Amino acid sequence: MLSHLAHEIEYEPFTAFDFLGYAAEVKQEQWAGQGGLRHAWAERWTASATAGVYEAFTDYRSMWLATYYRQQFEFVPGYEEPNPRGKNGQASVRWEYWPAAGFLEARFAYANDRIAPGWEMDALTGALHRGREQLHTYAPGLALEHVWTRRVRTLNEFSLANTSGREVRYGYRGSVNAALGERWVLRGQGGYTHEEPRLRAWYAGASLDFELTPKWLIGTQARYYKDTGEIENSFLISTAGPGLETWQAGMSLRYVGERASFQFTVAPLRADYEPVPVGTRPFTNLYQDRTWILAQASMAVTF
Amino acid sequence: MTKYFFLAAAVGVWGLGVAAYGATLKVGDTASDLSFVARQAFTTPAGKMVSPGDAVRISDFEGSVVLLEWFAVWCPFCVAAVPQVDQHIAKYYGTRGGNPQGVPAVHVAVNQEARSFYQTSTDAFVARHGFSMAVNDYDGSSVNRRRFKFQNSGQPIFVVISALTNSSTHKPYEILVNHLGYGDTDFVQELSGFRARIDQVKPAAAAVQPAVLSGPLRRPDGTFEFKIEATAGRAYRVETSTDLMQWQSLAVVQGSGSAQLFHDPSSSVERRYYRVTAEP
Repeated sequence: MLSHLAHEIEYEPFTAFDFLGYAAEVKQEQWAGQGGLRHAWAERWTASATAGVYEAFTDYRSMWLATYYRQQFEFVPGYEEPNPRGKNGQASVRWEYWPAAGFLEARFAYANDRIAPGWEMDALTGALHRGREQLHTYAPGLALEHVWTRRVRTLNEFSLANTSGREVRYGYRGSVNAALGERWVLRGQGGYTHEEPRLRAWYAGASLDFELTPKWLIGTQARYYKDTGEIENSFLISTAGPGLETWQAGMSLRYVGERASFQFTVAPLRADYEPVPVGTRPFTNLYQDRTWILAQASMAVTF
Repeated sequence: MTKYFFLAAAVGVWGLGVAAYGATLKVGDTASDLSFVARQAFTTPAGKMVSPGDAVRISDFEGSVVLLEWFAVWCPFCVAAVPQVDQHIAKYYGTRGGNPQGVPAVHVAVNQEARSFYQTSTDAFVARHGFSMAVNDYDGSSVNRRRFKFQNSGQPIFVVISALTNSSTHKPYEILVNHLGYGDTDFVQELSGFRARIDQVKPAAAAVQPAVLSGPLRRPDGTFEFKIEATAGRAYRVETSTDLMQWQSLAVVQGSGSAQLFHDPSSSVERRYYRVTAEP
């Protein structure tokens, strides 16, 4: 799978804490590739592997931060333009302990990300310090899916993630699918993430799909998310986001044909941040409360 | 490392704890040998005119209280502090003509960034904030020198010095405030604390002039009056005697700076001496 992503942000520095910054339009295009293999080597056993690569920033936040550092230090000897890119892979083994009705899957993922580093001036020597640039993430996980009745199915996933320079992150995700009738499907999801010393994140969501015709479905979704703020970093001016709370609700329309399918979703999202601490104040404009209008169109063709 | 971050972010200091240069000056110490290099032309409250590149000594601010604010243009905490210092110190005392005792209190911005590629932006910073007195904490041979007298590292640094050599409350060039960082507390509240210390500075009391007695006159009713000219604001005791040996207190009067009439209703005696002496 090949994907292309284009970002365009209107960068505004937080001038109360930033004298060197200036407004700018920042654009970026990103390409990513992903591939996978699957092999069923026994009746109930399947092995699969995926691998992917990407280049450039993966989100607008990284672009914003890189722009901040560029404007602060681009004329300082020692500063280098970021060159973000990464590669990742995952291997998994699935055992269908109950054919078509339940499986247990063990996963192991690895990611190598070259990120845009943070920069900071040493107040004593004037030397420019570069932050961590390479991140290695090792993430084992376990997934268990079980069909309880003809109408109810659950999926539970547990994961660990050990990333360079950070404590181990523990995660849980659970979902339940329930067919309420011949044409109604209710899905519920929830999750929790824990990382010492202070990151706690959880979310819950639900969606309801209605089958208009055998090929057309309409659905509605809602999701709530809350965390206690990111854990970062080794610098005194920290880019770590403060606590975040989001609400999202949306509608979707889906077509499922014999060889092609597409989906269109509109889902506004409200994001409220806690006040940024003084060490994060230069990034006030990044962590502003916002309302997003998210529109997504996707299509798949089988050939 | 994370704990280190929390500490530093709470203090709001750039580069805190990098290296120790040794003992630093404390509140109550004196700093009489401070000197900087003028970044712009200005005239000190003591009337000294300086040009860019001139040496500026703390003694050039004789008679004033000086707030020295070390900054670097790339330091976000310095950027944040400047408007608050301007409002709560520079403008505060500028509009009042000094502290309650009439002692001028002035703000001197001290640039600590010496590297050439920062000088244009530093000039822009000085211009944007309208610093009336900006100096550099370096010369051709060394950088960032004077601030290490007060703090081992980090900025912004705020130092308040009483540059009065004749104060009745403080030693010459006594340090009233030595504060590192922005954001460890409510900074406006911090500046209020600065002002409380600045407001305590008093100049030495003016020399007391001996009272001058004039205009003696015996009234028709036999009582006596005369005029007293004495130093304004000072108390004087009026005493009387009949033999120049034993003196009796009559009254305490406040000097007004000009001649004021004093009437002694009890002076019906034939001969009496008067004297007026300044109260301690």
